[in-house]
This record gives sequence, C-alpha cells and structure tokens, in this order.
Amino acid sequence: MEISREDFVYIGKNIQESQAIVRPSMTYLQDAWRRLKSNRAAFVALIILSILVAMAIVGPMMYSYSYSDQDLSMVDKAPGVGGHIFGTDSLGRDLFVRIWVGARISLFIGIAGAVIEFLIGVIYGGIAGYIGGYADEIMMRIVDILYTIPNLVVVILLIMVMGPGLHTIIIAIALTNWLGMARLVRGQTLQLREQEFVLAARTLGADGKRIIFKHLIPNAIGPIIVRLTFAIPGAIFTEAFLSFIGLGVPAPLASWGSLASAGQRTLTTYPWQIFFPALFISLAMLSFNIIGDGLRDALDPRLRK
Amino acid sequence: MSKLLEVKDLEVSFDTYAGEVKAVRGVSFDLNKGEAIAIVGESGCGKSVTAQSIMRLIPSPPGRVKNGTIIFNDVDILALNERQMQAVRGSDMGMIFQDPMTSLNPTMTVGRQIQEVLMKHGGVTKKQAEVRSLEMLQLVGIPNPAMRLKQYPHEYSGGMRQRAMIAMALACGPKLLFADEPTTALDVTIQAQIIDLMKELQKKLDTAIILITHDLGVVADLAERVIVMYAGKIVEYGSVNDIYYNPKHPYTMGLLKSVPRLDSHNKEELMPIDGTPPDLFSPPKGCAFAARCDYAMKVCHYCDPDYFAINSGHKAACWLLHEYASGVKENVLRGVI
Amino acid sequence: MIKYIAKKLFYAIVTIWIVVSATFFMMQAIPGDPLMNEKRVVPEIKENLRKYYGLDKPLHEQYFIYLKNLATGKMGMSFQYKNRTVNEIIANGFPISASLGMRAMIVGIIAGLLLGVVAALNHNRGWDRFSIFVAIIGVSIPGFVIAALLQWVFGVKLRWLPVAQWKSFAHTIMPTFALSLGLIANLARFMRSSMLDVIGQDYIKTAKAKGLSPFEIVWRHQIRNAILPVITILGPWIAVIITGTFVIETVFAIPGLGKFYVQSINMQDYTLITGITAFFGSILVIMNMLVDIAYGIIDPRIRISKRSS
Repeated sequence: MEISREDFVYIGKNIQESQAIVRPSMTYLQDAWRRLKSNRAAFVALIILSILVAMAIVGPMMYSYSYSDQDLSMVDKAPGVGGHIFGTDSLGRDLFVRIWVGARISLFIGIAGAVIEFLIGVIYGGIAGYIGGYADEIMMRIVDILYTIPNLVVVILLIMVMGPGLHTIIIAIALTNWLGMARLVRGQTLQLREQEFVLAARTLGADGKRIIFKHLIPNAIGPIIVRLTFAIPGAIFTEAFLSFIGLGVPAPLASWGSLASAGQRTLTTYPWQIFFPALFISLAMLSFNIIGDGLRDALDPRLRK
Repeated sequence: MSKLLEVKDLEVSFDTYAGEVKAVRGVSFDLNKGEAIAIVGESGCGKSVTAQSIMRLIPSPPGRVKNGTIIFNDVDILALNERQMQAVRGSDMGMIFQDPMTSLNPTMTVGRQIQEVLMKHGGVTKKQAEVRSLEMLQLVGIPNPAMRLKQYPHEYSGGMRQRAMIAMALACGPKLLFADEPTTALDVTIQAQIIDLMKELQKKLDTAIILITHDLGVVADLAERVIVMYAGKIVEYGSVNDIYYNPKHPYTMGLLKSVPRLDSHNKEELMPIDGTPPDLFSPPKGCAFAARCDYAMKVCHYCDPDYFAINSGHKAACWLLHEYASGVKENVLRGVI
Repeated sequence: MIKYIAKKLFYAIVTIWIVVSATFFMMQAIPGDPLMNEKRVVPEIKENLRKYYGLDKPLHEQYFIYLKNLATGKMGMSFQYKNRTVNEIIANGFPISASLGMRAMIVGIIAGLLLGVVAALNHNRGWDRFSIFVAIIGVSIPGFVIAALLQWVFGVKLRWLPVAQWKSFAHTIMPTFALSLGLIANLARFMRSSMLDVIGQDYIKTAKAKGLSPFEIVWRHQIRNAILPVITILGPWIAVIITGTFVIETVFAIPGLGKFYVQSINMQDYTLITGITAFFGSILVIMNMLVDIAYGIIDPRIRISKRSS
C-alpha cells in the first residue's frame, strides 16, 4: 500500500471503538435456546411427549366403552380382534382405552409429584439457604438423616398407613423426594448469596429486584429445572413399582405401571397385555430423560462456547 | 551463542461457534541456549497460546496452528508425530502453570508426580527416581523433603506447590522451561522467592526460560530480553534495558506507566491504559492498538505497521518510528496538537 | 479420622432408631388389625392370640418391648407363616437376596465404569453413542418390564436359560443382569461425565506437558480422579438395588427376602413388614455409612478437610 505523508496526521485514541463488541452477544436464554435447538434428539422427544399427552386427552374418548367396561365374551383377545386395537384384558376391558386412561393417571402422578416436590424443596431449601447459620445447620442435618432412610420403604409405609389411592401415592412420592430438591435449592441459594458477581452487581448500584431477576434466578434456575424434568419420570417409575408390589392405584383405575405389572403376570400367554403399557411407559420415560439431558446441557452456562 | 528455539510466522486460530478467533497472528522470535526471555502482555494477547503451541499443547479441535515453523534444538517441532512429541515434552521442554493449586494432581503424592516424569524420560528405576525426586525437592528449597515427597498437593502451601511444580518441570533437566504466569496466583511475598528460585536454577542448570507474564515488575529480575505482545502480535521486542528505559511502542510505554515503581523519584502517577484490546474474532485492519493509542495517526487505522529497528536487538511495530511521523509524538506530549 | 468415623456412626445409629420407630408407629397407625383376617377363630382364642403377640398391652409398652426385642435380635412371629419367626425368615431369605444384590452390584459397577470410560474416551463417536443409548434405555424401562422381557425372550422363546428359581449359576444370570441394568446405565452416564470433567482440569495439562502418553494420562490421572465422585453415588444405589430385589425376586420366583417382603405387604403381615423394614433400613444405613467412610479413606482431600472441620 502506498503511504503518503498526509496519512501521518494525528487523530488520537478512540476508546469507544476499542470497546466495540464485534461478537454476536447473547442473553442466557438465547444461548440456552440455541443449544437446545441444535439438539435433535430432544426435539424428537418433545414431539413424542406431545403426542402421548394429546392421546392421553383424546384417547379415552375415541371409543364408546369406558376404561372399566367389562365384556366377558371378549376376554384376553389379541390386538385387532373385535375392534380392540390393543386387545383386551382378562376381564374383557379394552386395553386401548385403558392405556390412555393410564397415561392420564401416570402423567398426572408424575407432574403433580414433581410440582409438590418442587414446592416443598424450594420453600425448605430456600429458607435454609437464605437464613443460613444455625437454622440452616439444623434444617440440613434433618435432611441428612432423612436422606439415609430408604425412599421406597418410606413410600410403602406411608401408603400402607394412608391406604392406596391416587392422592396418597402422589403425597407419598412427593414426601420422600423433596429432600434432594431441598438440598439443591439450598446449595444454589447459599452459593449465589456469596457469589462475587452479586456483590459486583450491588456495588454497581443494581437494585434488589434486578439482582434477583437478572443474576440470581437465571443462574440458579438451570439445575432446578433440570431436576424437575427428571423428577417427573422418577415419580412415574415409583408409581409403576408400587403397582407392581400391589400398592398402586386401586382397580378398576389404571396407570401405565398397573397395566404393565398386570400384563407381566400373563406374559407367556398374552404378551400384548404387557407389550403396550411397557412400550408407552418406556417411550414417556425415554422422552423425559432425553429432554432432561438436553435441558441440562442447554442451561449449563459452563458449556457455553 | 547457539540458537535453541526459532519461531517464525506462527499463526494459531481457534474455531468457535461464532467463527475463527485468530489468537496468534504471525509471531516470530528466537531464543539462545540458557537464555531467559519474557513475553509480556494483557490477558488474551496470545502469549500463553504461543507457548502452548511450541509445546504442542493446544487442544485441537478447536485450536490449530495455521501457519509458521517452530525449530527447537534443530528439530522442526510441528513436523513431529505425537509419539515423538511426547519424548520432547517433559524431557527437553518443561512447563509450569499459573495456578499450582489446580495444576498438580490432587490424588497423587507429590513424590509420585515427580518420579513419574523421571521414569518416563530418564530411563531410571523406581529407586533411582525416588532418590532423584528427593534431590529435586531439595534443589527447589522445600524443607524436610523426605516427608514432603509422601504428601499430597493439598498439604502444601501455594508457594510450596509452585516449587514442587518447578521441581517436576526441571526433573529431567530440560533445555527450555516455560513459566506461564508462575507468580500470578501467589502472594506477593512468595512471588519474589519463586522468581529468585527460577533465576538461580536457570544459572545452575543452564536452562533457557520463557517467562509469560502480564506483570512487568517480575520481568526485569529474570529475563534478559522482553517480547511485548498485543492482540496476537509482537509489538516490540528488545533487551530489558531497551524496553524499560527506551520503550518505542505506545503500548509498551502504557504498560510501563501502569506499573508501580519503587525507584521513581518524581511523583509519577500510575496511568492505566484506557479501553480494552480488540476481539480477535475480527481483528482491526490497521494497528490493533490504534483505538487505544494516545498518538494514533490516520495511517494507524488502516495499515498495520511493519517492524522498525531501533538498534540491532530492539524493534517495534509502530508508525511513529516512520520518518514521516517525526515530531508527532513530541507535539502530542507538549500539547501542541 | 476417628472423629469422622465416630460422627458417621452416631448418625447411622440415630437414623436406624428413626427408621425402626417410624416403622413401628406407622404399622400401629394402619387401620385394621393383623388378626382381622382370621375369621374362623373364635373370640376367646383371638384374645389369647392377641396376648401372645402382645397386642393387648398399651402402645408405649409394646414399643419398648419391640425395641428390646429388636436389640436382642428377636423380631417375633410371623402372622402369616405360622410357626416361623421373623428371624428365621430373614435368616433364610437374606443370604439369597444378599447374593443377588452383590452380584448385581459387582456386574453393575464393572460394566458401568467400563462403559463410561470407553464412552468418554471416544467422545461423540460410536462407543459414546452406544453408552448413551444403554444409559437411556436403562433408566427408561421399569425393572419388572426388563425382567419380564428377558424371561420371555431367553427363558420362554429361546430356552437358553431357566425361566425362574434360584438353583444353579444359570439361574442367576437373568436376575443379576435385570437387577444391574439400572446401575450400569447410571454409572456409565455418571462416569462418562466425570471423565469429561476431569479432562478439562489443569493437572491433565500438566500431565501432557510431562510427555506422558495418552494411555498413561487416562490411566494414572484421569480415571483415578474421575472415579472419586462416582463412588458417592454408590451409597444411594445400594438402596435402589435392595428395592430392586423386591421386584426381581418376585418376577423370577426367587425365595429371597424381597419376595417375602412383597408378600407380607400384600397379606398385611405386620410383624414381618416391621421386621423386614427395620432390617432393610438398618442394612442400608450401615452400607451408606461404610461408603461414606470408604470415600473418606480413598480421597485424601476429603480426609483432610473432614479432619480440620
């Protein structure tokens, strides 16, 4: 390049220019969304889950029979026979309708269990973490001790005391699972309270609301959302286990777990009776787990590249 | 004096989601046997990347050496395969890192970590390695070395850990030691001790040292020559005297003004360099420092300057050294412009 | 270190006491009476039975008798299995359950860790995808479905392995695998992420700068450090394995403690439920304590920080 004497004229510094941001800037959520979008498996899982939820809503209405209607002339029929696409059970009940009723129950247990767990955990853990000091010490000792008590044993005892039923199952599940959530929330609160960027934000004059919404929540919420996502399949699984040992939702109500455990007993003779509930329960579990994994990757700011 | 290391036109880039970040943009320098040189610059200026490229420790992907040659001990480093490179690392080149806290394996005794490198390269038995590791700890001034060998890193203090790191890096008698911000994570009182130790060992073992730091204060004690890097490029290099007493690049001057000095008689104020370095995601067309430069001229904004020689060993890349620019700096200083 | 162990021991004892007491009082709170089902028995005999089982005494007395009996290892008679004490049932069933559980633990730990390591070393390649697949399948299918599926494929259709019972080595293969799958899946996943976490650490860079080969780095530095956090999840997994035995033993008709437990629940056999619950609870608490202590011994960092705190 030709350089002339005129080019050597003084201009001085330009600090604005030096601080220009050339990289595309992203907010936390934009960045998380970008990573979630690129996760194809999570999207497929989301679609599968949506279909399952939609079927749980409309499925039971697609037939004239209800989930408890028995037809003793149509006992243990294979899929397709007599218009029963998933076949019938030992009392001649239509399995298609029962599976989607079961989907309602299982998903309800999963979501309700997770939400209650979340509420208890956030309140307990939040208080412990926020107050800190002695209260925190005592509250967390209690959690420590409860933590070592085997979960399922407590669930079994609680259900035996309260009697099996949809609500008792949900309560029992939530009552045993909140410990982990409480620990997590407490840890997050405590960690955030002491984090230097909070102090930094405060010295910059950010007010309380801004600190909470711009700094604390976006940084704490990730792990909590992820745990919530995993709590749903956890609760569905627990219900399936309870059904298996005879403490599930009482008949004639059905859940995926109770259908699968009933089907397990007739596996060798009528394999479809376990096949369909097992298929859907596994699909739902798979979807929740993949979505949970995807969310974890997306919401972890450390993975930002 | 014979050359130990010769780096020519080194270019290193990292591929990120947003595109290519050019971390090192054409760096050339050389180093004699047993010589200590310092690479100085702000964080992100490419000094660590340069060092890690020479040791071929850049994680790839995303990092890659795009261009350049590195001749170490008459061997083309970039042409070696991974196996041959392993034989060089640890034996001919050693490295100590910024944070001795995280750079030592927490689940292995310090002794074993030193013996490991000895047994890998030294061709010694376990017994010999034990003896040698004891000597090394003694050499770096760790008291009660026999007991210390059996301890884990967390049982050491910060300064001790850095001493242990130095012992490990020097165990096989390397020709070249990289010290990547070796004192940054340490207390000020410990910093001087570590620098003194390195100086002493450099003389004793005839090891060449590349000291990477952003702290000009520690440079003068150890290094004979200084390389000043800015935004992936060398902006000035020369002897310690050249750089300290006759800096030619405004960035170097700025760095010196921002360091507190005990020997300053007049009450000089500490002057920060305003602004931030450019994002190497898209480096500016002209001189990378132009936007922060007190003396920036029109030419600086569109044309990157070449090196101008001040004396045989002192060069700087700045348009102020061009004959057309004579008087500009003086006028700015006098407040004429 | 002794202080650390003593603290753990203290918590374990408190926890066992809570488990045992909770079990007792919850059993009392259940509506109905263990002798409710005995319709054929005349009231006088029922009254005698009540006395025999100690049901006529006030609650707190029953509680102390129960605690005393527990402490001396007497857990009373089963209501359902006449002439068999709970002790006998536990003594007969537990070795089988323990054997099944141990096998599943060993298989699960070895296979899970291996899979996790292989996956991390082949990050984003074939083996990694396979391990993720196994991990997701393992946590997505209920244990009894997997057990039933195995039973059907290998027992009924292919006839390679016995369908049920617990007699020879061949009998143990399917139950062990079915029980360990969840553990394999979880460990593989956990080990994988732990390995990937460690690879970003500074000391791995130090190891590279020392000129170690990739194998030496992985073996001496990466796996060693990656395995430590994984050990902490083994404690909770003991609980999962134990509850898993309830299911697996029932599906495969294995005469272990889990199967008796499920039956006792279905038959409302109070003393048996109380006994086995207290037993399982204590085993779990003790196992957790041992895992905690083991962790303290293995990881020098924990050992020291616990000592100073």
